[in-house]
Amino acid sequence: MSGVSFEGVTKRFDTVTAVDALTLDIVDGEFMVLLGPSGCGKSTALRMIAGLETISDGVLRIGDRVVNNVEAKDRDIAMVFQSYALYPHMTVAQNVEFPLKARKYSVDGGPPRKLTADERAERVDDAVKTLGLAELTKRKPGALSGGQRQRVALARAMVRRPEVFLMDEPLSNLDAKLRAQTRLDIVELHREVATTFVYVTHDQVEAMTMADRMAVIADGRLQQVGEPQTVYERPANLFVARFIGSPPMNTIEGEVAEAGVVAAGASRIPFTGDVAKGRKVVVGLRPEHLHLGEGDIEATVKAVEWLGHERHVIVDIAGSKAIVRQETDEGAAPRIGETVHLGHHVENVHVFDAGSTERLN
Amino acid sequence: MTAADHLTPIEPVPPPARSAGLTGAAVGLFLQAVILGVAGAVAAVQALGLTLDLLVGIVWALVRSVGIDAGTPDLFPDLAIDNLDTYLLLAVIGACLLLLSRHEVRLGQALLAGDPEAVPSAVGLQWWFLGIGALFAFWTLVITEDAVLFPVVAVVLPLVVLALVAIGGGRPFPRGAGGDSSFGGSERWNFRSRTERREALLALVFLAPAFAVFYGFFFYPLGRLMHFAVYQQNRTGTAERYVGFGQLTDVLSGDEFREGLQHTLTYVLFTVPAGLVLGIVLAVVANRRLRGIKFFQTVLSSTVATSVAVASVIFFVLLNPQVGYFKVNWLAEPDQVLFGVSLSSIWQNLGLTFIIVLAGLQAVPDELVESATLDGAGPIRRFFSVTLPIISPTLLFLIVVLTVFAFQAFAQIDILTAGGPAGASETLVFKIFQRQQPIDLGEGSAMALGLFGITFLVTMGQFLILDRRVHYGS
Ligand SMILES: Nc1ncnc2c1ncn2[C@@H]1O[C@H](COP(=O)(O)OP(=O)(O)OP(=O)(O)O)[C@@H](O)[C@H]1O
Ligand SMILES: [Mg+2]
Repeated sequence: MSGVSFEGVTKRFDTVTAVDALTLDIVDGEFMVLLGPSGCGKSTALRMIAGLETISDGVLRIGDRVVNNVEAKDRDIAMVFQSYALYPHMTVAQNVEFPLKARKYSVDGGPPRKLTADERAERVDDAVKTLGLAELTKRKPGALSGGQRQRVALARAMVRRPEVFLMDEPLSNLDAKLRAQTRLDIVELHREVATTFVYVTHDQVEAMTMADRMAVIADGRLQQVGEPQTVYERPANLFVARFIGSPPMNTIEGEVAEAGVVAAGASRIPFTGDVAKGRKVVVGLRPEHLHLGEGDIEATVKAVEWLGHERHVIVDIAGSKAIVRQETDEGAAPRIGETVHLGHHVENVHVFDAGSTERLN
Repeated sequence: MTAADHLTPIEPVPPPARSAGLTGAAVGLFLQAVILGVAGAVAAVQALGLTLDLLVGIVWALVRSVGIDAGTPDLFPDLAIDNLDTYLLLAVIGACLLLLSRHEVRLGQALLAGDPEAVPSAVGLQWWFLGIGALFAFWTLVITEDAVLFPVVAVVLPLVVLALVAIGGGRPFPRGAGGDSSFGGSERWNFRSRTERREALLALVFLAPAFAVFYGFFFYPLGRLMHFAVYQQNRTGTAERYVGFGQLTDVLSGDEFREGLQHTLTYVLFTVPAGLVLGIVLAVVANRRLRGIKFFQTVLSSTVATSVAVASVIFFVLLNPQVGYFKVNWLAEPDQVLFGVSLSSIWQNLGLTFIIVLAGLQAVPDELVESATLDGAGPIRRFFSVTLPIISPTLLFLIVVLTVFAFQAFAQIDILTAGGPAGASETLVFKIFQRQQPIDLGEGSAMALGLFGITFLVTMGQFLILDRRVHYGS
C-alpha cells in the first residue's frame, strides 16, 4: 500500500502536451478519480503511474520511491483496462493466475519468492469466489459476457494484492444497469482491500458516486481536486462549474452593479462575497437552485421538457440560455413565451471572473 | 380431462399434389430400376455360372483324386479356390442390385400414388447413388478416359430425378444435410418459390467459374496423373497398356522413391524450422515503433521480390569453392549438399515469413502485452505466454506453407546442383522431373501421386496436431 504523488509531471507527445505540469497527491488507501472530457490526458496520467508511458518532465513517486525510471514490470501495480485485456487463449482461472506465476511475492513478511502451486490455487480460488466467478473458471474469455469479463479483469488485478490499483474507464463497455451495479462492487472491493485506487472516467456520475476525492482535468491541466461534494458545491472555475452537474450549471454574463449584486440585462442577482464594483463576471446558478415565482431575475420561457418526476423549463435570461428545474407537483408548467420571475438563495450563487474564469466568491 | 385435450389436433400431412415433376421423378426411378435390374441379373447369372464352374471343378478334382493319381496330395490342381470371394461378391452384388431395383419400382409406384413418405425416401436414395456414383464415375474416367455410361446412370440420372422432385414441390435435400448452410437451421430450398429458384441459379452461376478452373487445372490433371500411374506407355508414347495398381505399389515401395523421399524430408527439416525461427526473430526485432523502422522492414521483406533463380545464382556465387565469398565445398559434398541448397531457400522465403509474422504481431492488441507487463512478466515470458499463442494461427499457416514449398522445391536444386553430386540432392520432385520420357511416364506419375499423397497427409497431420494447440481469437 502506497500513495502516488505527481510533482510537476508533464507528458509530451511530438506536438501534443497530453499532461501539463500535473501536481497531485494521491493519499495512501484513497479512492481517487481522475475526471475530465475525452482527450484531456487522464489515461496518459494513469499510464504514467503504470509505467506504460515515459515521463517527459517532473517527478512521479509511488510511496517514497521515485519511479520515473522504474520499469512497468517492476512497479507493484495492477491495472484494469477499458477493453479488459484478458488473455484470449487462457481460461478464466489461468488468466487470474498469470500475475501470480509471473512475479515474486513476499509471504508473511518474508523475502519475495515464487509462490507454490497450492498457494497460487488458493489465491485464485479466493479472488474468483469474491467476484462470483467460481462457476466460470474453465471458460475462456470468448465465452463470457461483458460483465463477466469485467469481473475477471478485476479478479486478475485483485490476486496481486498490489500497492496501487489503476482502472481506465472499466465500466464503459457495460450497459447502464450493470454499470450501476458494478460501481457498487468496485467501491466495496476498495473497502475490502483498503488499497490506493486511481480510477479514470469521463462520467461525472461515476466520479461523484465512487470517489473519496476527485481530480478534474481539462486540456492536460489539473482544474480542481477535492471531495465530490466540495467540487460540486464550490467549483474552482467555470470549466469545473459547467462540467459537473446534470443538467449543467446555468451561466449568465453580467457586471457587478453594487456590492453583492450582479446586473444582467433587466435582472439583478444578489450574491454573497466581496467582488469589486464594475467587474465583468459570469454568474453560475444550478438549475435546482432556481425557482419559478417571486424573485429578482426576469426570464422568458423558451421551452418546457417533461421528464416525469420533474420538468426542465428552458428560459432566456439576459440573452443567456438557462434551465430551471421544476418538480411536477410544484404547480402547472409556464406557457411558452411567458415572462416569469425566478427566485434563488444568495448563498447558491457562484461568481466567476469573466476573463480568467476563476471563482471570485 | 387430460392436458392433451387442449392441444390442437395435429393436421395430417397433406400428400404432395400429383405434379408433372413427381410423375417425372417416378419415371426416372423406373428407368433406374430397369438398369439396376438388368445389371443385377447379369451379375447373378455370372455368379451362377462361376459357381457352376466351381462345382464342376470340385467334382472333377474329386474324380481325379480317386482316380489314377490318387497318391498325389494335390487336391484342387488348377482350380482357383481363392476366387471364391469373387463369386460370393458377385452374387451379393447381384442380389443387392435386384433388391434395389425392386425397391425403386415400389418407390416409383408410391410416388405416383402421392404417398408423402415416398418423396424423402426417393430423395435419400438418389443421394446415395450420387455419392457412390460420383466416386465410380471418377474412377472410370481415370481408367478409360471416355466413360459415358456410368456417369449417366449414376450421376446424371439421380440429378435429374432430384431436380424433378424439387420441381414437383419436394425437398431435394434429405433431412440433416446442409443444416449448417448460411441460410441457417433447417431451411431448405423451395424450388417452387421464384426468388429461391433465382438464388439457386445465381449460386450456380457464381460457382461455375471456380468449378471450371478447378476442373481444368486440378481435377482433370489429377485424373490424368492417376491414369498414367496405372498404365505403361511404349517408347514413343503412341500406345499404352493397363498395368494396374502393381505399378503404383512397386514404385512407391522402390528404392528410388524412398531415396527421393529421404532427400525431400531432409530438405524440409533443413528449411522449415530454421526459416520459421529466423523469420519470427527478425519480425519481433522489427516490430517496434521507432523512427526509420519502415526502412528495415522493407529491407527484410525484400526477398519476396526475388525469384528462385536469382536467389540460387546468388548462393551459387556465395558458396562457390573457388570464386565464392565463403569458398566452401558444400554443394559438392554428398552429405552437405542439401544443407547448402537449403540456405538459398531459407533466404528466399525469409521475406515472406517475415512479412506474415510481422502482420501477425501487429494484430496483437497492445493492451494485452501491456497488461502482461504490469502482471510482472518480462519480455521472454510475455513473448511465449501471450504473443506466441495469439499469433499461433499465423504460425500454423506458415508451417504448412513452408513445408509445402519445401516439398515442391525444384529450381534451386536444378540450378545449384542438378541433383548431384551422384544424385545426393535428387529430391522427389527432381526425380519426377527426370522421368519425362514416355517410357518413364508411368513411374514418374506413380511417384507424383505418392508425393501428392504424402504432402496431403503431412499437411492434414499438421492441421490436426497443431490445431489443438492453436488458439483462434475470440
Ligand atoms: N501515443 C500517443 N501519441 C501521440 N499523441 C497521443 C498518444 N497518446 C495520447 N495522445 C494524445 O494525448 C492526449 C491525451 O490522451 P489521453 O488518451 O490521455 O486522453 P483521455 O483523457 O484518456 O481521453 P479518453 O477519455 O478519450 O480516453 C490526446 O490529445 C491524445 O491525442
Ligand atoms: Mg482514455
